[in-house]
Amino acid sequence: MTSVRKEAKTMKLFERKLVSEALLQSFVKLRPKLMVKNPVMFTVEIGTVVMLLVCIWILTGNHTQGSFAYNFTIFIILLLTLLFANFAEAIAEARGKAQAESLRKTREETPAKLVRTEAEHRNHEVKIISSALLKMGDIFECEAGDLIPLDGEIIDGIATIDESAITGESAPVIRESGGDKSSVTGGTKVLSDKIKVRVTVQPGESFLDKMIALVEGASRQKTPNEIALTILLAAFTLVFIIVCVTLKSFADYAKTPITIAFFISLFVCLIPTTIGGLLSAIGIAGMDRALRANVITKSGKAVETAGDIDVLLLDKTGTITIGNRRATNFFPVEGVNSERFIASCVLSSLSDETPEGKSIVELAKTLGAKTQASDALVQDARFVKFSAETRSSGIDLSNGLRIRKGAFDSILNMTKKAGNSFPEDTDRKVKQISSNGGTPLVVSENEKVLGVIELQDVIKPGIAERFERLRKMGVKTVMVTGDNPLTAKYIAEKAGVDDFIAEAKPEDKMNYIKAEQQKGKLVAMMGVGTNDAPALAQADVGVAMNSGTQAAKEAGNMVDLDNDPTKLIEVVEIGKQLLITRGTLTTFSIANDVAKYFAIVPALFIASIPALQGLNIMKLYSAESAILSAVIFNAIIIPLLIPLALRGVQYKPIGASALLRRNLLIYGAGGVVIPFIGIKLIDMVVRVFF
Amino acid sequence: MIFALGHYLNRKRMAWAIFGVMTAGMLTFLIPTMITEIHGNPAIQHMHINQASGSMEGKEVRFGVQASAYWNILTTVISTGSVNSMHDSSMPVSGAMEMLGMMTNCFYGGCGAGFLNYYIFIIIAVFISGLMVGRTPEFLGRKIEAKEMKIATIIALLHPLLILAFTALSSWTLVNFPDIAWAVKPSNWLNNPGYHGFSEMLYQYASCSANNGSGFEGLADNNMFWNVTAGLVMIIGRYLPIIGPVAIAGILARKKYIPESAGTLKTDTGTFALMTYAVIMILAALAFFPALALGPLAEYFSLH
Repeated sequence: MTSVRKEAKTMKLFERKLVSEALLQSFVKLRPKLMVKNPVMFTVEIGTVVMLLVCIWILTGNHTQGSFAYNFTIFIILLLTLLFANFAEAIAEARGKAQAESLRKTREETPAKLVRTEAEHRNHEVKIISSALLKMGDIFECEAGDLIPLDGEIIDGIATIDESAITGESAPVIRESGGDKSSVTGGTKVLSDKIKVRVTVQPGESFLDKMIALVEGASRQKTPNEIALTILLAAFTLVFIIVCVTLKSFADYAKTPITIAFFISLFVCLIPTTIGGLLSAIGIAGMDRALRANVITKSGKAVETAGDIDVLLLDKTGTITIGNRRATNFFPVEGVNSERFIASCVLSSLSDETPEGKSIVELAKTLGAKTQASDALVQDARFVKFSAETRSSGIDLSNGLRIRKGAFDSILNMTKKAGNSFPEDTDRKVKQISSNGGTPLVVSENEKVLGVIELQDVIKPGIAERFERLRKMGVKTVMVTGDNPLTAKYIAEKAGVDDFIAEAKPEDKMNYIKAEQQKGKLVAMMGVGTNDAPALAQADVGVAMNSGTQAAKEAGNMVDLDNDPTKLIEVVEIGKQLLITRGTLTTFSIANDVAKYFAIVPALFIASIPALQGLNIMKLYSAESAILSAVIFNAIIIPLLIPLALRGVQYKPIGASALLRRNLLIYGAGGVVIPFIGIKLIDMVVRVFF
Repeated sequence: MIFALGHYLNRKRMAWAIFGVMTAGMLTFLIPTMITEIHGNPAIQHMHINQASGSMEGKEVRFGVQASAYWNILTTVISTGSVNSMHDSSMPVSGAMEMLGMMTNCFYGGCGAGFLNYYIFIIIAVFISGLMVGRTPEFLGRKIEAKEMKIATIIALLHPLLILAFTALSSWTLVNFPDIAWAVKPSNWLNNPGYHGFSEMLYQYASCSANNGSGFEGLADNNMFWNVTAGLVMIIGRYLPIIGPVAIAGILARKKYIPESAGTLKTDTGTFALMTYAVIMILAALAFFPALALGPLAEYFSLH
């Protein structure tokens, strides 16, 4: 199955199907009841209605308001302004929906094998029903080849599952009952074995459904930041209401009659329609970008908060380091032949299926040691598996040799019990390895120390650069690990994280988060297990992995479908981008007014105060053409900026002041200059007609 | 005041940045005034009369043009209100600058009110620039949210509302009831009808709202209509803008303090100072440009 994700990534900004749907929606959204939520555009709508009435008035014989054609043109342009703004919102919604829909499609009408609850254990009666009929708490079965109908938790069995439909990752994953990896997602496919799953969501309540509802606007609430910005925009609208209303008596004083069309044009041009029209599109596009990164957000607020994060808690294993430790060195005790030591190490690890054991054999191979020669010896050997109690593993050979490898203290105890002394140079080596961030693995033969193997964590390539980028954004990274402080410190330094929590217990995370929050910081973390749930809920942004338990997913406010721990970094950038796009477009919108004033104000009074021609620095053709050009520019700038609103303004981690300087230059200065050029160009076309 | 603020907040750099913006704002008004006053009146120029000492109409010979122009601006930028020359006789550009001084009403801060209005503009500038760098806006370590924005915008709106609405009221009265039987008929209000007369009314309310106290004069204002309306503007314009900023300060003080990090936007940099300057100037320009165009600007272009 080619992944949905790949398709989505290549999805064009304006797909034909989406555009036609959005066009229809643009008209539906003209309903005043919907418009009133956006005060800026609502006032434009009122202006449009007034213009329509003026047109009718002229048709019924009024001669004071200028020609019908001119008034009607203004009316049409105002209507277009509204439609453009609606279109921006509609296309953002359509894209978000299409994205979520393509994920949902995979599991609609999937047949589900319902296990009758009353006969649950004895008869094992199975009935095939549609997935849409499954309720929370129902139990269904899935065998190899079945699609999992709904999100749930495995209560029995283990299976390999292809999650590529959701994550785009083709390698199958293992899910089993109990533990942290018991959760399955609807739409994924069972590849082997058979599992029983209890449904954990109501149909229509799964994460995807929540996301779709969020994008559709049914449950979309304005975020605090959006509210504050709306207040600012409403204030600007009010200023211009005051300006336009008082202008009426100023004009009367100056004996200059101003037509209704001119008044409304002035008003619509001045109020921040550009940002007002694009505001909701920007918010939806933010959630959509998160979804595109395969992160499902439970609220728009979470994305926004992500942009403000000060502290980022990351698990060491899997995030900073590649899953497991690897053997990097053999250090035999003085007097022990290096080749013999390596051979013993290999013997003890041959049956060791742990990644550490395998890496020992691999290292030995690369050093040229023979790893097969001892086959005869191994034949009747007894393998001793690693246990938490002995904290060592090994092999008892048929010739009576007992080789053990294990943690320093466990081997120390073993040798001491047998009355043997622990060699001083190995002791020194062990300490040295520990302080270098490695893990020493001491090897003994018949309770006598042979030497020590050094295991090292392998830091993910490129991770240091990512942390550097985060630091530039002002985000502090904290590594959480079960290692001892020495090891933790070494890895923290090597990977470039700012702080670490060593020998971490789940409640340590919680305490750290609380302490940082007490200091007024915003904390983000990623979690998998049920024991992470309290911390996920406490964190300001909690990203649960899709493979995690249901409890973890409920506690967090985002779910990462890819199970990629470094995803938080992307989420932070998406959040920042969202705020920046809003800020820059607001600046742009307001800066535009300067040019519009120079176009409209001289035009308003030119008839009675010819001297004001001096203010017409753009040398626009006539009063009519000047005002019309300004209104047209005001309308077409909205669709021109839709791509920017949907994609978001580029975020560069160059420090707050540098970023402000950059954006002020591009969108502030640009916002002043561009309309001068734009209005002048439009005027050159318009003058042909008026 | 500003330096005292910097001292108590332990942010001396910020105090300097604020002082810098204020001085830049003052110079923005002072320089055009100085130039036009020194160049004299073009109408007199046309009559081929020597104006080596600049536009001396309405000025004291003791002070001369430069000192008069300097005080014209200073007295309107801060709310001193004393004059050393007749503002009514200033050149149109100077008149516009004097009015802008009161319309922005925040540079240096006035006697008693001080930093209050500037603080409102900082809140708005912090909000916009915070968004531009991708962080929820914060000032002095406190988040600026909807409630603070609501208060800040109301206060920022109040000033233009008072000036424009009352000037509109007086214009309306003048046009529609020129001969109403008041002690002073509205048609007799203005010494100079036309654009200059409009400036006289606009200046009057700008001065009241900014609680400046100076007058453009040339306006018959000691009568029922002007005393009552100007009084109203003074009461509202003086007290409401004190409540707002204090309320914001109270709300901010109760919020949790957020320590600065590398991602925090610093409010003591040149860039942020420029941002504040732009916000103040653009807000003033947006609100008052049409009114100024009908008054001093129309007068200016008619002269040239």
